[in-house]
Amino acid sequence: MISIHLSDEEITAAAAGERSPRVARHLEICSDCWHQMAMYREHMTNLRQDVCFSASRSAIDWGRQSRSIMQRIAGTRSAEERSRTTGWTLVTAALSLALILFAFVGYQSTPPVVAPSGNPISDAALLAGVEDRINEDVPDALQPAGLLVSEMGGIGRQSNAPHSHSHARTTQ
Amino acid sequence: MNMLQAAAEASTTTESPFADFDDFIRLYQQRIYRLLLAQTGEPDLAEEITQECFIRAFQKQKSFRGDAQVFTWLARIAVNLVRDHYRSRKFAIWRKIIRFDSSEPEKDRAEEVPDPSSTPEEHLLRRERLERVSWRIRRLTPPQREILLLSAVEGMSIDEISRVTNKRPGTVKSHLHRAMMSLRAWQEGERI
Repeated sequence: MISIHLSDEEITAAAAGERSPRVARHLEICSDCWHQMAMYREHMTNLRQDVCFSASRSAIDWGRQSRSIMQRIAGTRSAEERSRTTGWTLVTAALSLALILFAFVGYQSTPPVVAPSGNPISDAALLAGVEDRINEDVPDALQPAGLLVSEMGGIGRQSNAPHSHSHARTTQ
Repeated sequence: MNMLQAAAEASTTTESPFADFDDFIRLYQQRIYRLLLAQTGEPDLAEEITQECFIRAFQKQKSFRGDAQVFTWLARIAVNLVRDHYRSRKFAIWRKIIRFDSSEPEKDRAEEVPDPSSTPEEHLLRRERLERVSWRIRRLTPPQREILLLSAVEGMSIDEISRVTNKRPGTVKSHLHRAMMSLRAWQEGERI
């Protein structure tokens, strides 16, 4: 007994080479479906023959085409290499420029370096110099202020007479 | 599967298919050109896209993982290039309409360069056959066209076509069926 006929879609798929076991079994026993599939295959074969004939070319043409492809590949390769080289050149130039700028800015912002003198000053001499500067005379412009301070010192000494001896001793 | 196909597939099992790119081109260029010619119907355009396809293959050879056959991978590149071409052509037409620029009419590329190695009769026969095939194929929708050609001309299985066109096997079967119905109608119409 023949089962239900295959659908057109199933026959097309079978003609395209895809056959499930059910389809294959059906095609073995159903001549109608088999003939339809054979007809679809024939249509496909005709199309294939037409396309192959239209696309046929001589060996010279195929050789020309493959050479042309290889030339274009070589062209794209050299273009890629050129762009890579250009890229590297640009990067190197940018880095160099940045380095120069950085060095220039760094040079501008560093404090001036004092050249060491021939005779290094000792710590004791430095301290003595500072002490001298503290003990040096009051500048002319500050003379009135110095008088005021000495006057106030006199008043203070008179009012705090009992403590003045000990204070004077500590300051000495 | 013809000898060329067999040689091409055998070479993929032994070593990298791209080891000698010149050989790689020689093995596959006929099949790719045939597929593209059937899709476009324009010999010069098919040749141009064939060249572009191999250049892309060369650039993307590292992306070939070997999980599909080399031709399936290559056919996918070719199919995508054709899609891109028609998409950009569509935009070019719109650009022309917008600019009212009709000074450069679309060239009929098929008319441009006759094959110098064939006789004029052969050339004429091929042209006629190509025109007949193109006339039919152009009436199909782009997915139907791609799928029918991959199946009928390249003998690909549904799974392979699914990989090339990036469509589900069920969708592939459905498009193939509709394309086949159209093909049957034309061929039966020719017989009457």
